[in-house]
Amino acid sequence: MQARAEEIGTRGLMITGGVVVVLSLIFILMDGPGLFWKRFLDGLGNGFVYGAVALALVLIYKATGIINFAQGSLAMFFTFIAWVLSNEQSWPVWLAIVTAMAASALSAAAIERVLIRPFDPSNHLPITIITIALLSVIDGLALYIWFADPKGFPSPFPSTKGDVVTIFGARVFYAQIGIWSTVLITTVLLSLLLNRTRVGLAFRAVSSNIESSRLVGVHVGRTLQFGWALAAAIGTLAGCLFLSSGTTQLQPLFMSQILVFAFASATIGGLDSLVGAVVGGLLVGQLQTMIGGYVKFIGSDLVLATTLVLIILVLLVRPNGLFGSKRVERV
Amino acid sequence: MPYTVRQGTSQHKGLVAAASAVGLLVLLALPYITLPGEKWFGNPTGQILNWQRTLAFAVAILGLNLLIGFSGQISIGHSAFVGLGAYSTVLMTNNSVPFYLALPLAMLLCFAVGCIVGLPALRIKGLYLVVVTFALGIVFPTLIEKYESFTGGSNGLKGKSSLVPKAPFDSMFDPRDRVDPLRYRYYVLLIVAAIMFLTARNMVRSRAGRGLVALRDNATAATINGVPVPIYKVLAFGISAAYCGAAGWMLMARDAQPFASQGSFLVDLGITLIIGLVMGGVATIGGAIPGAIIVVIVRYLLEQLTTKKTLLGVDMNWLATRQGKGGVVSIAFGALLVMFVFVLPGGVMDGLRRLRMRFVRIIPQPSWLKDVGGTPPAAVAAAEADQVMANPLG
Repeated sequence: MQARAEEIGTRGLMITGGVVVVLSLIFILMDGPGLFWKRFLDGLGNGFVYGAVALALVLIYKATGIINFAQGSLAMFFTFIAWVLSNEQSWPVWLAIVTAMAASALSAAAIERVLIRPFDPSNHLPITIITIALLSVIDGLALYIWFADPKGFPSPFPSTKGDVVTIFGARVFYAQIGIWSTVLITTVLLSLLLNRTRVGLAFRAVSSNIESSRLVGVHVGRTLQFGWALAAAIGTLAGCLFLSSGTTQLQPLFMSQILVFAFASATIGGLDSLVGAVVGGLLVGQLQTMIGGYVKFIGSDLVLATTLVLIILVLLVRPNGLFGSKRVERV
Repeated sequence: MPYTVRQGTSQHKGLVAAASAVGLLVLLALPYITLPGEKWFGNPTGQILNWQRTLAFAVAILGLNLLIGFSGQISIGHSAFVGLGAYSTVLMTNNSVPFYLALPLAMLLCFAVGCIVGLPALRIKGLYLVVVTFALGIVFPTLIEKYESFTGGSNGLKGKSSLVPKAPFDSMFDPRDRVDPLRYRYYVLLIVAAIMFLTARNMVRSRAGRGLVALRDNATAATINGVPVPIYKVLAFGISAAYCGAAGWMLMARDAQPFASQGSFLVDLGITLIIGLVMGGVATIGGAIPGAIIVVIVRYLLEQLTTKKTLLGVDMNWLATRQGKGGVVSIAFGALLVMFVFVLPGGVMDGLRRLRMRFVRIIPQPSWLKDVGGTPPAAVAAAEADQVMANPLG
């Protein structure tokens, strides 16, 4: 039994806003506004990707109440599929990505039906362990098929050296803008899907209370399956987008770091809040570049460690994340 | 018709003693038994090294089971504690701390760090904690890399070979022999593991152990019944971390020259521990042994399998020469884990128990059964059910 807190996230927003404004002022005073603006834009690209993967994690969490450890591996596998389609079958990149997304959605639906549904959704341990097993299988499969050497991923956006636009003095690649807008559009579409359609309503009902939604005639299994499919597709999109910026190459473990940052984003945002996932992703993305840029003794090596500390700090102040809803238990 | 004994009778005690004696004999004889087929099990030295590894993994899995099985908190980052134990052992012994003193010190360090990491458990519930542990497992190798001057970074950290315990009696373990020093270290590890297992067994059966199981099954009800939930949660975390630290020490005590490398303590290790835990048996003490055997010995066999050119006359060259053949082991283990969760959620221990019940049935005689007077079948059934600490996977 859960009850949603009355003012969702308003306090979270205020706290986050306050901290962000104070930190930004300090940073601007340190190196001047120009550099700050540049770093801000740099962090935006990664932030949106983290936000997208966090969205996928939150979808699964809302549906099944577990954390899907195989999320990153699934996304990695189908990013490889997109790579195969575009590189070896020479499909247009966009078509390859969309096809891979569809394929990942279908596979996730199948996985949900075969491996997840047999278990009681309220018993989290077996389902979590199944996702860990999936992680092992999918990573092994990718290693077996495509080996460990990195591969270049074709960008769906114009990405030659000249494809740059200058925003207030900072140079931004088109690919970056492409990533931002794709994630933003996905988020808007997702919220429309969840808030304006029947299946979205069913999904929200199931994530709020399985028993009651079953009583009012929602097909719980199929709705959860829908959630898994949606999450897998978003994860795959995020994987492809991350590689489109060209800074990382495709290899079987490329998602694992993203997954940690996405976990961090989802946790900071509150595991059951979609808005929180995106905001958390943006925060973590900024944190990554700002810490690397401003806090020299930490540098870029310890960003992960700093993120871990940040997660713990946020959770200590707000145990359900910045935007998460409080769960009230009835005995 | 299975042979039936009552718990506590002399027959039952005899059976238990006989089974324990056989188990003990096997454990003691292991380093002197060379399994036939060097192609599969490795040469005699390799075999003993694998058994030593199994002991270390058994302790780590046991520690993780105290956390996952008995307190119901999932951690996939316990690789960090094994690594911490290993690295601190090498660092301490290199700074002239005696090797045996390094064990309690490493455990203490891991306990402290484990408690700090588990501290958020006071406020963070369930899955949020899983995320923290996952991040911890990922962060640990980056920390090792960052503080390179201290830890050797990606080159690994070498210990001094002179620091590894030498056998005090040359007559039994010839120091010039190729295998004898290994055998001696195996027995050292065996004793450490035995102490850890006995301690864990007693802890689980204590008031605190029952409290842990209560809070796992229903935290609210446990609180109402006076279980100090936050303290127990943090302690469970710390103790399991200490066990993993001991496993790290054991891994270092294995080789003639201890070598801690960052690559052996990645999150993969944490996942391997969970795999062993589930396959051995969630919320069992003995399950750590079959679990460790699976993740060490069976894994070794699988790796051997991928290098064979022919298998039972079938041409396997296509696999042996493939670049990504390492993936096959992950696939097999993942698939095996899924199978266990579906078919045998109680793990090997549960399988063994069911097997035993076909031949020997033990009728439990808890103290409360005497008060019932006689042994009505319903009471016996209840007592039998009571014997097994319910498996949270089942």
